[in-house]
Amino acid sequence: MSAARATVGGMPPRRGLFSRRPEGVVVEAGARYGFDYLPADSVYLDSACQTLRPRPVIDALNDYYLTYNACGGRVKYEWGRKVDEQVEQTRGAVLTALGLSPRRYATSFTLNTTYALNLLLQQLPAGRYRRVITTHTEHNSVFLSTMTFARRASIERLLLERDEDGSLVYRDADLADALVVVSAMNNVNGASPAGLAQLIADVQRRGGTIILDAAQGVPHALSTLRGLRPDALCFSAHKVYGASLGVVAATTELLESLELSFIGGGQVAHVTASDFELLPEMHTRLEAGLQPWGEIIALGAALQWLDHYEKGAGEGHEAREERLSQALFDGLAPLPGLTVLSPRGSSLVSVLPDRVDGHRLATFLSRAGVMVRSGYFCAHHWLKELKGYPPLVRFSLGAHNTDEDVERALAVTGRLIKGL
Amino acid sequence: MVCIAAFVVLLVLSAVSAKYRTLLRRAWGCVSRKVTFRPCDTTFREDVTNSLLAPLALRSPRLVRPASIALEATAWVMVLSLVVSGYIVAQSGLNLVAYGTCNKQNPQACSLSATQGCSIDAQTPSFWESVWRGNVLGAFGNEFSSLADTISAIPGRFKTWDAAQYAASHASYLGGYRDGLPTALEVIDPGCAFCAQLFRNLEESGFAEVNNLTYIVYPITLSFGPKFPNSPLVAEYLTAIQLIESSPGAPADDPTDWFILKQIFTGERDDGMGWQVWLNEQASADEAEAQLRAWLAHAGYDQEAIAEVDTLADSAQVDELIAQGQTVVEEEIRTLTIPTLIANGDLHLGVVDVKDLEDMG
Repeated sequence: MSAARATVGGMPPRRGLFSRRPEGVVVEAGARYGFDYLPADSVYLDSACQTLRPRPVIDALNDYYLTYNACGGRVKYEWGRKVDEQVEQTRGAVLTALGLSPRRYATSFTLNTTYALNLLLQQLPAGRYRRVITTHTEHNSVFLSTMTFARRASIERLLLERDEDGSLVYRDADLADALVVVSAMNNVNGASPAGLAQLIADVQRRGGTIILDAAQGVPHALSTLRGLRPDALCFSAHKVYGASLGVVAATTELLESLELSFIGGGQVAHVTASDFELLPEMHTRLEAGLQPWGEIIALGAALQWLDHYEKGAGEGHEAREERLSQALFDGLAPLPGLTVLSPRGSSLVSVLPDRVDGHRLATFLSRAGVMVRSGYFCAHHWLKELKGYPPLVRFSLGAHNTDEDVERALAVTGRLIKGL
Repeated sequence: MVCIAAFVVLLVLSAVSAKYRTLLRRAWGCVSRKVTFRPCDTTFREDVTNSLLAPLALRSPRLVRPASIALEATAWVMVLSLVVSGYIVAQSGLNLVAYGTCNKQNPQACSLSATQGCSIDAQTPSFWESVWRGNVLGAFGNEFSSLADTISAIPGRFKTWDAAQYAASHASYLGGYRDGLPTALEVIDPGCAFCAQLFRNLEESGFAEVNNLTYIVYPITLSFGPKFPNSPLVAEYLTAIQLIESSPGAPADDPTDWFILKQIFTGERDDGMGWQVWLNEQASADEAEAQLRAWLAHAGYDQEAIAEVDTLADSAQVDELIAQGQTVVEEEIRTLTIPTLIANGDLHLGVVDVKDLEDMG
């Protein structure tokens, strides 16, 4: 394995104005646990959108396609049985990772978090809820799906504010028979709402239902989610080092209450001319048709890889992210013409550039091999309508990132921000 | 403007490589919003600009701002030049359809036109001449007026032409008027070499034997005077002869004006020089007038008749008739090319070759 490319002050070697980037140089294996294939000069800082996949996940997916590429849930031959076994292991691994009981919760797979939320909200029983509650700061997957839910059910939609410590401000009476959908971690600034456990308890006490958007929470703050008992929790495997896949961990009661309108093969035990009988396994309620077996199996490998991360990398995943994100925050905060919107230690560091357009800054950073996200991160109502911000830039860390990545990102960003 | 400029560049690139067509669709989305004055999705414009500036940003961030301005300015120049080029191409195309030349100001300068003829150059100053003189409003006014003229002239190119409609009451016909033959009319300037060529082709093809061929004399005038110095004088004599030899409803049987035209277009001096060349390049007004009188005498005019022609040629009546002919040419026939022949229901610009004339016959 070749050594990391030499850099000066974190900057990439100088190149001609229009010359192509040099061929990728791979860092030492130990520096990026699971990502030995990653070129050293590629600084990927968009894990909030999609994490990179570690080698074991890629191997698991390849292994499925190359050695037992069969349907699951409906065949009796050996390959299919192996698929069923691996998928069941993944369902269990999801619940274990979240600290949820398999007696009360079931794991379903969908396309992504947005799809998962919509599947749930579009099939929750009409007339069951008095209102739907969410916040101003949600991702569009929550913000819009609650909007259409309220319209479909002809009920009010309540948008909550947050107090100074980040807790949601609500009246207990509003929670009565309410459907509450909130994120477990904000996808713009990485803030976790304070008092989430209390909110869950309050909603359930008042006969409501609470669904968590954990798309950022699971990859970046899994430990804070363990012990929470929402009615459902949705996240994306592709933000947790897995292949592209949506995941729902929901109570069996909630799944059983769904009025299914999206239905087909894989969900029914018996069909007559005018009726059908659903399978007793509750996870099937959200799994119409053939599932992405390889991706599900790859998620199992991703969760297993995360379990071994501390041993392999010599540092816990969340602790590493927090350390790197603090360094990133400390480097970005003093830069002139740049306002950091995230709290120190958040894995998602969003900044508001004053003197340069966010998209432009992201493009310039990309030219230096630093990949960051720019825009409104699917939070248009909050950032554009309420705050009136121009496009932001978001640096989001993942398990593949190193101290060198952060140093390089800071060096390039600093030079650009000071010069532009 | 960047997205419009990018669209043009991508349009060209897409013509040779399919890999640019996705970008072209994005560029078109941006352009279509821009040109319909809708709020523009600037993503594509930003992508293009930022991508172009990125290499510079990494080397010299401080140069990004001036480079960005320069880029926008360049895009404006590109788009403006594109618009102007597009206008010129469209205008040239319309001119080609309407007048047989892509350049109305200077018809002979149009390399697209195969028409052989003398051009009736426009008298109005060109757009840039007007701008140069500080008359910007006039420049645009003349330009749009000219464009409107061109557009309004286009339908005329597709209509069925009736030469008799444009023949004057005093018109003379080559070989005399013969009942039952169709009328053909040419617009000529006695000084134009292409009119001489057409005359020779007409004779060779026998066109005048199967058509009542007449003409409108149009001495081409430029801003500094006549294009051919003696053409106005010859036109006056031809018109005077027509007036004398014709009577209402009864054209001359053997018109002398055609005899003189034949001398000018086909005759030669003793030294071998053609009479037309001599009139154009060597003859003073007095010498030209003397020669005209000589031809009249040769045609059988006595001194008294010649004096009558002299007097009439110098009269306001003749000037008015010539002016009327010019008005017909400019406002009804609307040709910019001399000669122009109206025959067989069509308008023919420039010299018509013998075979085509035979086919018309």
